[in-house]
Amino acid sequence: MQHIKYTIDTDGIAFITWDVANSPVNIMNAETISEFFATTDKAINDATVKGIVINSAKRDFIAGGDLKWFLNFDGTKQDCYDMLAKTHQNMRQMELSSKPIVAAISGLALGGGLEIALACNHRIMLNHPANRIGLVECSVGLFPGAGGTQRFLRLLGPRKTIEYITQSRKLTAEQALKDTLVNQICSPEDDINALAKDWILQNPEVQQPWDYKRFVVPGTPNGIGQVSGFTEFYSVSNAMAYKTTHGNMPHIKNVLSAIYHGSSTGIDKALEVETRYFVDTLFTKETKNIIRAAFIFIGDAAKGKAKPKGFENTTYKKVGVIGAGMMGAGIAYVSAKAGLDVVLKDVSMEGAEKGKSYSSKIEHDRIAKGRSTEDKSKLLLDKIQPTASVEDLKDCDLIIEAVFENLDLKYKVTQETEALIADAVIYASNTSTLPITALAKASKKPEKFIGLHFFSPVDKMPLVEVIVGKKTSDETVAAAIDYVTKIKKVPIVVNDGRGFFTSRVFGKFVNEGIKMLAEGIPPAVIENVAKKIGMPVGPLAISDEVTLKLMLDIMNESPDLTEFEKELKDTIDTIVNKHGRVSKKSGKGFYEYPEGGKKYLWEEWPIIFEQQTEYDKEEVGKRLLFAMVIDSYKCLDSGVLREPRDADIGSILGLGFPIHTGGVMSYIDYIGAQEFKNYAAGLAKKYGERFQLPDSLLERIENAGNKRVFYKN
Amino acid sequence: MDAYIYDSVRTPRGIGKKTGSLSQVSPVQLVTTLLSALKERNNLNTSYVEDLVLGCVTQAGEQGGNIAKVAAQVADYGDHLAAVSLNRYCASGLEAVNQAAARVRSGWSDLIIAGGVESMSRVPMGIDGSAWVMEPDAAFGKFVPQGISADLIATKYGYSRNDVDSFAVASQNRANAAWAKNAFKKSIIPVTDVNGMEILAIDEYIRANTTLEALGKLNPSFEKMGEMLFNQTALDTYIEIERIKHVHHAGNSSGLVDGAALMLIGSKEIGEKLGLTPRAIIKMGSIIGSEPLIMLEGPTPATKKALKKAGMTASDIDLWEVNEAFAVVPMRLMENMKIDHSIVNVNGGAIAMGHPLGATGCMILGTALDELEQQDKSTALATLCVGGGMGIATIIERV
Repeated sequence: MQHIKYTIDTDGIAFITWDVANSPVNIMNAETISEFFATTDKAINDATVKGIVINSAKRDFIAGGDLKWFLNFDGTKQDCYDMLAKTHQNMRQMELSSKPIVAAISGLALGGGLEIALACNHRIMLNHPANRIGLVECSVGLFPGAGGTQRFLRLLGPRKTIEYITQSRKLTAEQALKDTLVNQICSPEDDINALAKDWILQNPEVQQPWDYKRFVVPGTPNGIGQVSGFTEFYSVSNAMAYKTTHGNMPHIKNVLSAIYHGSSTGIDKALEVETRYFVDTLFTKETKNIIRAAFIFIGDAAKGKAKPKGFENTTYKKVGVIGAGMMGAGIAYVSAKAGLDVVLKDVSMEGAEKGKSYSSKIEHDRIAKGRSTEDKSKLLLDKIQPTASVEDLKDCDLIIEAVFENLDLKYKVTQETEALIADAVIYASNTSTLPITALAKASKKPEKFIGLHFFSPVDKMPLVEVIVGKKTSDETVAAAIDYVTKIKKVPIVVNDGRGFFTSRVFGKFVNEGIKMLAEGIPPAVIENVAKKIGMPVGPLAISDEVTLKLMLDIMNESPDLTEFEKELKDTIDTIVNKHGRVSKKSGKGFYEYPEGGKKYLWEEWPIIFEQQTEYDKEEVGKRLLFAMVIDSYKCLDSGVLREPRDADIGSILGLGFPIHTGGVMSYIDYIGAQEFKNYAAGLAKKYGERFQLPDSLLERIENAGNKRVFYKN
Repeated sequence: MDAYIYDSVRTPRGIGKKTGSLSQVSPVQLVTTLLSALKERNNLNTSYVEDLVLGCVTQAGEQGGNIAKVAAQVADYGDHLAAVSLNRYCASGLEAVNQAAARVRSGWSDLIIAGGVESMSRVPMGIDGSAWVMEPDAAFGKFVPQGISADLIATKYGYSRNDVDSFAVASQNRANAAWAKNAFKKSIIPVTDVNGMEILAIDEYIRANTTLEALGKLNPSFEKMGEMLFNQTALDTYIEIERIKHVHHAGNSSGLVDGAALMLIGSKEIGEKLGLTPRAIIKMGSIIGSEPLIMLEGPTPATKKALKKAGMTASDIDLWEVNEAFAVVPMRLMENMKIDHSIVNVNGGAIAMGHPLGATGCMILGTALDELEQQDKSTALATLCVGGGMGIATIIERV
């Protein structure tokens, strides 16, 4: 055995120990699982073994299944079904043997790891602040497929099962004990294996609760629905899940089905139910897209995969943040939270203090919610030093400038700061629109000058665009990526260009929305369709947030507008300057913002733009998405982006592009490359050249034939 | 062959809560009260009654297990009497009448008692559960509660809070006036106890002094639930609607009540044989399915279908009864069919008197028949919106 260790002590207690070779964590895959079950089989059939302890030689118990394996699964549905059925069989063998089996959960037990523990008769969890158990598969487009849905259901009833599984909830030892998901807590000074052994010796013969004849799934009725709130509960959980997914996520509907149908049958048939819906889920495009995007692309990017090769890890001690507005204040917070000292500089001490108070407010809320403590919070806040003096920046090992988006101001700040800081220090500008190469002109050492485009609010938004100027060195890029991963953000590398990647592509989404409004498509339709296809906010609502005036200014400054954009600029100009519809801030945008009331679409739009009564819903949605997808491809084509995966990551994390599509590039294969090509051609004919696919993309689609254009899986 | 209505009876409607007068009376007792009345009023030789077809929506508990057959046994009509309980949601009572009429017209049966019952105080709505709302394949993105559907219709077609409240006030005023002039006297069978003492003789749900101002103060019933849960489902389908305006509340929606209604339906020959006086012919019945999410738009297509099949037009109908499930439902029908409020629900409706689910269809058809005789008019049409997206209509003509 390579991954599973097996020992039997003098009292006849077998210890089955997970210790996966060449891996920091215990991961479940075909190889490790078959070793594990071969071992449980041996122990169960060994007459000298009285009971079994399942534990881990690593810090964590078992971290879950190997998602790459799921993504690349190339067997048939029947293969997949058989494989899962085999797992169920093995777990049922554990449950049906009368020998006591105890899971000694010493660290994290997630996904499949927890599912193994659930098939044990007794679960002991080591109480440590970092320890969690949870069925977290839904966060990557799947759901528990090794009995988790049905064993949770039988321990918790449908209400908590749906809540915990659809929200991928992780529980501490105390929470898990309260919910009876674990039976016993081991305090840090105790020996979890000794406790496990004690329990075995005291409980020589055991049976799972769901194998008793009269077992009933908790919270389920015997025939009459509303008495137990069963009908209402499912009605609510269906509505809630639909509201958050718009029906775009097959795994969510399928897990609800697995739980619903599983609650009406015995454990063995219930496990079949789980498998049936799991197989269906695994074979959906949406689930593959989510695994690829969420787990592989974003997971790898968060570890700094984009970092140029051959550079040591750069460590930082002190970060200087210039400009204590929304962005600067947020950057200061996330840096301090990652353990870095921060000098937060503004033109006045008052401004700098105000910037720091942003951190105090977040921490205050976190303490209120029990996510931090007074002590920890104080430690964090003490790391932020507000100042009005540029002198205080001199011993910083990284500068992030986040002043107003004004070229002259940025020039001035660059020169003033560079005069003080050490030569080796990287100077990063947080800008969403100004070209880095242009900004770097003010710098004496443009190879050390880089862009870090954060998103607002910085403490919540995970993406950072690392913008590479013409003269920015690879060493600087590598060091910047080290910083971004240190503050637990996800970096993508973007070459310099107007609007970089996300701002530019985001503009296409908003433009298309405004264009459709001007064409007379009812504004509610535009907004509702955007949400239905999976965008978090409609183009008109988001435009109000950003302010239309700002977009008009950017357009006015842009030297190379297309005919479409010029026309649209005139439309926007009329909207802003004639109708006075500017932004949420002004109270008058595409929406009205009544004081104390909810926003609603301005009633005059149907008068200003003659309304179409016949419109194609599908086309409204596709125009919004295609506008982003095609422009993203142009970013790739022109070298603004280096890899398709960066487009997928950036679009999902930065633009809220629907994750079930896999991101802007995956979208092409999601709807089918041929279909995409034909639909784009139709749109181009009707609405203009912005929907014309670049030749290189047409060629790639042609060459791909009936295979995927972008990724193998 | 024609199907004739020989008699029509109903119980008064009791408030459908534990405080309501009829909560002390079982649904079986409600039905047997009416079966006894039919027997006595018509001096009916019960051995000729072949079947009891009874609508009942929440068929659980004491309404479960074919309540019609239980009532038939208790009523002592004889062992020969067959019985069936059916559920077409709110249309059940009228569906029972239509099925009975169709069987008589086809010659399969000669004499049937049809109607419905619902004790909402004793068997709460929804207690029987339903895959409709529970099972993901049925509910996910497809189900919203009826109140949300009603508000969706009001929003889509621009009925304001004031519009629906005004309709509700009219319903209360009309019901009140109807009782004042004893408009229901021909049908109402008081519910009595084991001693023959009266338990309830009037529709106790009516609020005589309802004003527009008082209704204006009520909070919309479905706003919170909609915003928390269901509105998004509605908007994903009805994308042209920006936000649902919640206009319905307890005062302009149908009341939860207890009650039963029955009709004696048979062929011409059986009437002659038993010496019964025919009151009306059941000319046509129709049923249609419609989009389930907006759900309550069935009455218009059902009405059109019935009229067309009967070779009639809307102007041929003298009196209309449309179930007031929510104020917007009759308002929508009036607008679609271009009919004046003065000939619709002239004695008020379910907003004032309540909607005993399985019984209502038969009850409002009976109300229409009584009123035709009162006004000496000829034709009436009764229609209801139905859960899950359906519509039902029945046309009668006096003889």
